Amino acid sequence: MSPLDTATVADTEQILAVAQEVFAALIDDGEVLLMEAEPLGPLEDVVVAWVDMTRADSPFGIRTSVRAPREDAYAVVRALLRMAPDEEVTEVDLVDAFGEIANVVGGNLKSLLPEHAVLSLPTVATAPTMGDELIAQVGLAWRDAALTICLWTIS
Amino acid sequence: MRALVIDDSRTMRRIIAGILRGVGYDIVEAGDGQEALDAMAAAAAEDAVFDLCCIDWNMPVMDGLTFVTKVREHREWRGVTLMMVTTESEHGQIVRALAAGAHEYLIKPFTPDALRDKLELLGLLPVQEEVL
Amino acid sequence: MTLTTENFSYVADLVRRRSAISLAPGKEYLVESRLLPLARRVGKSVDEYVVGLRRGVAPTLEVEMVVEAMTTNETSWFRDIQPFEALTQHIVPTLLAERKFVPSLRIWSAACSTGQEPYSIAMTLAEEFPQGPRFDITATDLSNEVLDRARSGLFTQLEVNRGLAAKHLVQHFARRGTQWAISDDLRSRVSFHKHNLMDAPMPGPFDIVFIRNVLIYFEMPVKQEILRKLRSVVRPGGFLVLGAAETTVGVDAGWARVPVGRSAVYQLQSGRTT
Repeated sequence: MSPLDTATVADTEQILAVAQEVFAALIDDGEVLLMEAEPLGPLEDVVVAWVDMTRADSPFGIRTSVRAPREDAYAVVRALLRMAPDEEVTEVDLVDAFGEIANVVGGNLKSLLPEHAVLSLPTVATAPTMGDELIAQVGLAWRDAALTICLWTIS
Repeated sequence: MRALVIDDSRTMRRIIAGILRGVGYDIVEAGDGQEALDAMAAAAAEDAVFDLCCIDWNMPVMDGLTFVTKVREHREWRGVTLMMVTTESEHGQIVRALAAGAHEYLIKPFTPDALRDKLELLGLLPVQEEVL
Repeated sequence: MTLTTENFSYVADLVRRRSAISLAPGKEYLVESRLLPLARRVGKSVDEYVVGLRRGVAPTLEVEMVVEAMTTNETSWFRDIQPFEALTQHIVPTLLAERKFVPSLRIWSAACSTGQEPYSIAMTLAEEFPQGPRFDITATDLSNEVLDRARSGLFTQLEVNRGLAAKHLVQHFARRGTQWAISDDLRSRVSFHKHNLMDAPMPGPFDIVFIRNVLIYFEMPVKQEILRKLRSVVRPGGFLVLGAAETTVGVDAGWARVPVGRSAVYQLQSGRTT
């Protein structure tokens, strides 16, 4: 993926629009409750999920990561899986559901690329990920939770 | 009514199955196209063919497009409605899926209402549910 | 989140009384989000705004706006599907048969909102009658905001997911970023205008009027007045399409019900002047 390709996705407004649609559709019955906010600083207890977009004919790629404090990640997963407020969120639930958020956000951003790319399976970790260069960052507030989406070039 | 929900994400299968059960469907899940083909064959053997398949595109082992192509090769499965449910939303991708034999296409992310709307379009909504 | 439980209950009661729509506990964020624009307009937090409502210091119109804000939903394409089938299978063929020459069909889509109905009509006619007749659609609504959006012909991914068959999507829309744009051809067939049904009707004559799920909000005398006005701009033998549960029976005798499935389709009887 040449540096030119990133312009279509490394756009804060587009990322916000995609994230809003993902949360509105899958969690809030069509209602947009996700707003732009300050990006998260370094955190103690964090959950990060990311997907990579790559093309076979290019050494470059784009990584889309979604990061939130652990408690906020639980809140998102609970809402996504329509769990009761006191229902336990297992590690398997967390990994799969938070990973799916990154997957759908990344998948929609991938569709904006001028050339067809392939999306990796989501990876979920408890330490922040990085790429070569940070090309976009969007802080988000959803109900009382805070999240941040980052786009990195990778090679 | 029976539906086969095919997606490599457990979360997404859970979400789709939840919405379909809410309108009266019995659900079988599969994590990739090959598992799904096996489930189709098993259902046919029991004379309980599915009414509907909800199919993710990008999956390991066998992707959704390949699954659709293979299903359409079986004349005895002609009655099964095939709906893609995927983040692939480029115009060309939708055309490809319809050309391969998919009957409908739902773009992720989707609201529960949107899925129910598609079912209604397809004449596959067994229970009219007023969701407030 | 500023809204207290007590004030949330107040809004929920209000909405339930006025619209039969239920807001269960858990929907506090929904109320906060929907009322935020109204509260901001008067420089208040949502909770302060609701407190003002409860004190009765707000005009009736404000209460209407709150109910409207809480009950507005996404419109879908080809809503109820039956009227569009009726259009293809009965209405247009009847009009073509009953008249020797039809230069073009004029259609009015009243309360068109963000445009899904008039554009669905356009898609239906373009696809089912590719050889003609020509058609033009007049679409009206009260709100400039929705009319602007409708005119743009741009729809979000969430909006195109609602009731629009994939084959129609690929045929008539192109992607623009995360949104979908309807073709210039179909866009050119629809003109959007701000119009209040209480005023003089849009200048006719029209062959078909779609006025679905709007009359239910009016009292009987107003309903009758609106239908009378519609009669004055619809050609004899022209058609009226209402919402699935609506009827002109007992309201206006000038229309005869057309038995097309479960649709509420009526044809104007010529010679009636009352």
